[in-house]
This record gives sequence, C-alpha cells and structure tokens, in this order.
Amino acid sequence: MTLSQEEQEKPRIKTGPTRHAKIMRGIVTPIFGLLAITCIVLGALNATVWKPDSRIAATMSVNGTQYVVTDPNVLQLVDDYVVASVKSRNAKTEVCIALGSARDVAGWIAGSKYTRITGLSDWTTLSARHSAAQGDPDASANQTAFKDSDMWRSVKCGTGSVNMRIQESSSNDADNSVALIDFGDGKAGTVSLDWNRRSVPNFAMPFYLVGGLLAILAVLSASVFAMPPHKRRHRRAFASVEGAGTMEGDETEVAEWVRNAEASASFGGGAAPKRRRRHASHAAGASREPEEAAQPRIVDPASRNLVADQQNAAASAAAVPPEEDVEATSVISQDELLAYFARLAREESSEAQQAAQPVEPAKTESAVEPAEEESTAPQSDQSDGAQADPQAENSQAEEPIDDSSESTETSEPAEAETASDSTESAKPDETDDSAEADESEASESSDTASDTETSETESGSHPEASEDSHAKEPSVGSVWTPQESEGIDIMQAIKGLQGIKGLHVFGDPQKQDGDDEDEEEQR
Amino acid sequence: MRKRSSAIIAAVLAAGLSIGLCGCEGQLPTPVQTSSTNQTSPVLTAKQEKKIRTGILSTLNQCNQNLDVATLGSILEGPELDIRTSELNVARATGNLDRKTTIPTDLAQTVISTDSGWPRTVFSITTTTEDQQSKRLLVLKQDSARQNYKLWGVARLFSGVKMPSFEVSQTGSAQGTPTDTGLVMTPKAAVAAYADLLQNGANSKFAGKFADDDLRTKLAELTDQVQKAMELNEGTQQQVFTPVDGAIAIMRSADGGDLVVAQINSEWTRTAGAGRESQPASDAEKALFGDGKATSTMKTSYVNVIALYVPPAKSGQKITAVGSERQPVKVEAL
Repeated sequence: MTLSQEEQEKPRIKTGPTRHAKIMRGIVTPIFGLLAITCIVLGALNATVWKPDSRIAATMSVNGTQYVVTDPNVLQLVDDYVVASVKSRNAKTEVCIALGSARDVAGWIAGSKYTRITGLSDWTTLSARHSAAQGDPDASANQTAFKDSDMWRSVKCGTGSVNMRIQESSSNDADNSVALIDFGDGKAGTVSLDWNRRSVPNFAMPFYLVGGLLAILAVLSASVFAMPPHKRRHRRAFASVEGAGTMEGDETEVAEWVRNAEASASFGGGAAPKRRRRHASHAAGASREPEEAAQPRIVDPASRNLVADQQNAAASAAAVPPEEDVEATSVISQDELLAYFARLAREESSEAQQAAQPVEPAKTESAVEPAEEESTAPQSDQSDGAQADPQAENSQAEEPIDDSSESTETSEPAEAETASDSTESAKPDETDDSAEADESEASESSDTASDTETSETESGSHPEASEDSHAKEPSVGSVWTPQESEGIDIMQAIKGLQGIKGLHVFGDPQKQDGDDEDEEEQR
Repeated sequence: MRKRSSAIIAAVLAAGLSIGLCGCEGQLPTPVQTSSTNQTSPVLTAKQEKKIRTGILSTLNQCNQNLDVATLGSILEGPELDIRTSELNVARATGNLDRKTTIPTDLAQTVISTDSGWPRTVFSITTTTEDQQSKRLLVLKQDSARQNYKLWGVARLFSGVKMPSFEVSQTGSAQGTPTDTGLVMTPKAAVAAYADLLQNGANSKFAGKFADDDLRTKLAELTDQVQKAMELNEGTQQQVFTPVDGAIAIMRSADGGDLVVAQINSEWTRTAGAGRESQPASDAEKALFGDGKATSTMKTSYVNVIALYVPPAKSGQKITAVGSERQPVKVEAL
C-alpha cells in the first residue's frame, strides 16, 4: 500500500535545485565573495599605500603672548621623544625653551598672560587656549634672566628660532616636565611639536579578518545554507518522519513518528515543534518538495492488526495446499496425514458424545508430566495434569486407545505426546511455528518434545497410531477402520475437522492459541 | 531567511564603518589627565641642588680669591652677606682670609624643601674641611620664582654635636614657620630665649631650657677675659644680643622637631675707665677698626648666626644649639 502511494506522489515532486538554493548560490554567494575580495584588497592597501605615517608634526602660531606653556603630558602625547621647535617672527629676538615642573613654571609666569597648548586638534595642528596665570607678577629686584633661572631642568635659547629635543617618560607623574617657551619681546611666532611614532596603528588586520569571515560566509552560503532546510536536519529524525504523512488517514502512524522525531532529534527543543508543524501540514496531504532520501521500511512488531492478520492467514491457508509444507512432513506421507485427520474428526465427534470418560482423567494426567519417558502408557496418561489444552485432550483421547493395546510401542509417542502437550501448554505461542516443523522429529526423539505441537505429535505418532488404530478403537468405542472406505473425501474430512474449533490444520500455527481457548470455553 | 539577511546587513555595516577609517592616522590622542596627587616632591632634584650650590661656592671662591666684595651680592644675602663682606674686608686689611671662612664643596647631607610657594629653603651640610674643621651648615634660599638661590647663612657646627635626622633628599622635607607649634618653644621664641641666655648667662630665666653648647662657653670665656681687663682699667663692658626679626630659616626634622637657623645681632660696648682708650678686642676688630681713633668707648657690632634644634614638646629634651658663626661687622669708637 505504501509503495503504490509513493509511486503516485512521485510525479508531483520537482527535481533539480530549489529556488532557495538558487538564490543562495547565485546571488548571496557572489555578494559575499565580492565583499571578501574588497576587504582583502583594502587591507593590502592599508598595509602599504595607506599606511599611517610614523612622523607626526603639529604646529600652531602664537600671537600676543610672551609665554607659551604646554599642558602636562602634552609633550608625551604621541611618543616619548619629541622635538620642540620655536620660531619667532622677529628673527633677531631671542627665544628660549625651558623644561621645568608645572609649579615652577606657574611661579615664573605668575600674573602674566600666556598661551596653553592643550593637545592636538588634528594630526597637523596643535590646539591652544589663552589663559592668565594666577598670582601677582614678581616685582622683586634683580630678577634673573629666563635662561639663568635655577628652576629649569633644561633650557635652550636661540636667536630667532630654537629646537629642543625632549625625552620624558610618559608616566602619570605630577612632577613631569612641561615646556615653557619664552618669545622674549617678539611675542609672536610659531611653535611645532614633532613626534616619531614607534608603534603605528595597524588598520590592515581588521580588514583581513573581515575578509576572511566574508569568505567563510560565501563558502557557507554556497554549500550549507543553500541546502533545503529540512535536508539539513538530523538524518535519523528525518528518517523516522519519512513516509509517515504519505498515507491518508494514517493518524496513528503520524503520532508515532512525532514521538520518534522528538526522541531522536539532535536539535534543540525549538526545532522540534517547528518540524512537527511542518510535518503536520505535510501529513495533512499538502504537496511539498520531494524527499529523495531512501525510505526504509519500518516494521514495528507491536503494531499488528491481529484480526486482519488472522483473516489473511485463513485466506492464504485455504489457498495454500498442504503440499507446500514438504519439509515439515518428509517422513509422513500426505495420505497418511489426511487419513489421520479424518480419523481424528470422527474421534472428536464421538468423544463429544461421551460425557464421562476414563479418558478425561487420563487426559489431565497426561498433560502434567512432560519429561517422563519411561512411564507406562496408562501411567503416563494418568500422570498428565489437568490442562486446558484441547489439543492435548484430543491427542490424549487417542492415547488410551494406543497405549492400552501396546504400551511399549506407544509409550514413547504417548509420552512424547504428553511431553509435547505439556510443553505446548507451557509455551503456547512461541512453539506453534516450530512445533509444526518438528512434527517428524517428535515422533523419533522424545528429546525434542518441547518443540512439538499437539497436532504434530499426533502426526508423529500417527505412523504407529495409524497402524494400531485397529487395536485402539475398540477401547474407545468409536470404530473407524482405515479401509477403502476411506475413499471418503479426505478433503471433506479436513473441512469437517476445520469445522471443529480448536483443531488446527497445516499452515496456521497462530490459530492454535485462539482455537485452544475456544475449545476450552466449549468444554 | 532572517539569519541570512542579518548576516548581509552586518557585512555591509562593517564594510561601511571600516571604509571610513581608510587613509587616517587613527584616533587622535588626548593628553592623560594627571591625577591630583599631593605634590610633596622636593622643589629641587639633587642634581639641581648640587648645581646651585657648587655654582655659588665657586663664585664665592672667586670672590674670596679676588677679595671682591661687589659681586658678593649676587650670591649671598642675609647674615652671610654681612659676615662674608666683613671677612673679606678683614682679609684685605690683614692680608689673609680667616680660615674659618672655608666652605668645603663636598656634601654630607641636604635637606630640600617641598614647598610649592616662595621663599624656598634648602639646608645643605658639608663635610669637614681639609684641615679638620667642623662641618658647615649652609642655608640656601630662593626668595621668589624669578630669583635664584642664594647663600643666606653659614653656621659652623659644633664638634661632637648630635644633629637631628631628616628625610632623604628624594623625599624632601617640609619647611617650618617661625610660629610652629608642637615644640618646646616656637622657633621665634626659642631664638629670643637664646639671645637672652647669651646676654644674661646663667641668670637668664631660660637657662634651664637650653643645653650647654660651645658658643655660650666660648662667649663666657671671652667675656670673662675682657671683664678682667676692664676691671684693671676700671672699665665696663656690656653685650646686648638682639634677634633679627625675619632673619630665620626653619626646616622640620624627621622626628617632629625644628632646626632653626637665625640671626642674632649683638653689640658689645666697652668703656675704658680713667681716661684710657678702649681698643679692639680682636684682630678682626682691629682690622675693621683700621685707622680709627680709639676713644674710651668702643662699640663693636657682631653678626651672630646660630643654629638651634628645637625638639618636640613631649620629648623631654632641651633646646640645643648645634652651630654658630660670629663675626664683627662694625667697630666704632664712640
């Protein structure tokens, strides 16, 4: 049923790449690839042509104040080494640069206006601010010259212009030097600070990194992201889903694979409901994109429809003639078997007429003792326990017939029967199939009694039973002579047998259980 | 779908942001803000102090050699200027410079102020001289930012005296004020008391507060000698010690006391009786007096520089004079 439905669905499935894959491979991948190449090119450019300058020179012009002071830590702004250059507008005046501590400089310029260099406004310009120093101007007599002051750590003067190389460690010390520039009387000029960077910022590396990431994205979008979403899912979870929704109205199976999918899914919990939704719609019969994966056939032994199976088996059993079971009955001929069945049918009917029979206790006794082999036939019959085994009873009905006449000959088969019966009752289901197959063996060896079936043991004992049927019959009371009169239709006999519930013919090992129970109810 | 579009958006944004960085030098640096730490660093480095001191001393030596008094004003101030001028004058008159004027150039210890304002004081203690004279305590002062350091005072330390301990020069010491509290006496009062002690000797009411020192001992001896001579002449003598207001330098020692260097002027008036002349009492006075006409009264003005160690109030110690210098600066016959 499943195969036919699959064949029906196949024409609806489209072959070839999906739209999603086309978009990913055709548009997104090239975009990422181009971006990756662009980034790498930009990175290479940044490493070579656009590499930041290591030399930074910033200048500013001063106008109106005699003194220019750098803020603390401005001298070490870019690097520890700096060359300070001062040029006066008047080439004849003396300009001086002095390095001193901030408080010494503040003391020197007390009360004067001065210009503060506060930092960099951009990479080529210093930022400045006008300010007035605190305190009163020094009015003492005999003031020392700027360059003679004891306070400066170093001082350099020149006419018109002066350069000074300053090296200060960039520690956050309040006693760090600041530069004090004295323009003298000129009061105008330019100041420039020149640094040489020892470590230059690396702009190429981020570009290379981004380019690498984009390249990876391009590769992923061409391969992984281009795959249909459900194909990327876990295979096992998908496999349990496969074919579940293709059958119409198969709701039990849908519920089943939902459980399986959730149990076997390796994705997070969020993915499961999504998949379930998808597959719920899928199960509803919406046509979706085809699944080309192999569809393994699921065999769940627990989900069998026994009634349907039984009907099918009955139909096939009727259709299958007993000749097909050649291997089971290699020793016994078919004619003998049929004869036995006919006889058995008669036995059954006669047995039903007799209300209280000595057979019954014998039947019960024979059911109890399975392993006893050396017990006499009547003993074995008596030792059989009471069991609701119609087959055992059937066979035991025969046993007293057999055993009473020839105890030794029939002891083994009888015991084999009893053994087989008891074991059969013990394991009704599992031994059905194998019991049939071991029909012949049961008669020959009592060791295999555990696997024998009532019918088989009966058949196993048939060679002897059939021979001794003449002798047995008188004890029971029913007369059945295997004579030509047996030209009665064997098939009719079989059919008659089949009419008797609980009696199994070839090919239906399953039927035994139900029949056994039915017979028991009967009795 | 969402995953893809967000990835595309992120890539475009990253590209856009990074393109903005192209061709730049990077982010502009800003100066580090100095933490507002307590500025207790010395005002001079050891190198600077040495440069200043050696410069002054070399100039002084020049002046000594040249007996140049005119340039003394550029390197000396305060009592030392008076004393050195007098010494040079005496040397000019006598032909040789008193050996007490020697100041070694090697340094034993320096005490550098941490004061951010002015005037700033530096105490420098030299080694002993080559001829085994005692150490000299030099007092360097910077009166204002636009002036250089000058040698303000020199006191010869008494031999065997125990000096107070100071912080290392890298740490610097705090400057004291004349009215420092927490001491046995304020520095100003201590100087006044010492002047009284010098004047009155054992009769001074401050006698118990001071330990004995060489200056007082020597002065006492000198006064006794002169007194004997005076009595022969039926003369009288009198010394008046007057501390000079403002001529004081104080540095705090590590144990909480103060080392005070102050100027005390004194006048010694000697009156010879019975019509005799009062003559100069020493060679220096003689040299200073020169060709003056002696009369019966002679008044000699001295400049004394004394170094006192004023201990903390609870220490139980006495104020101790650790060094002094004494030089007549003027001799006049009244």
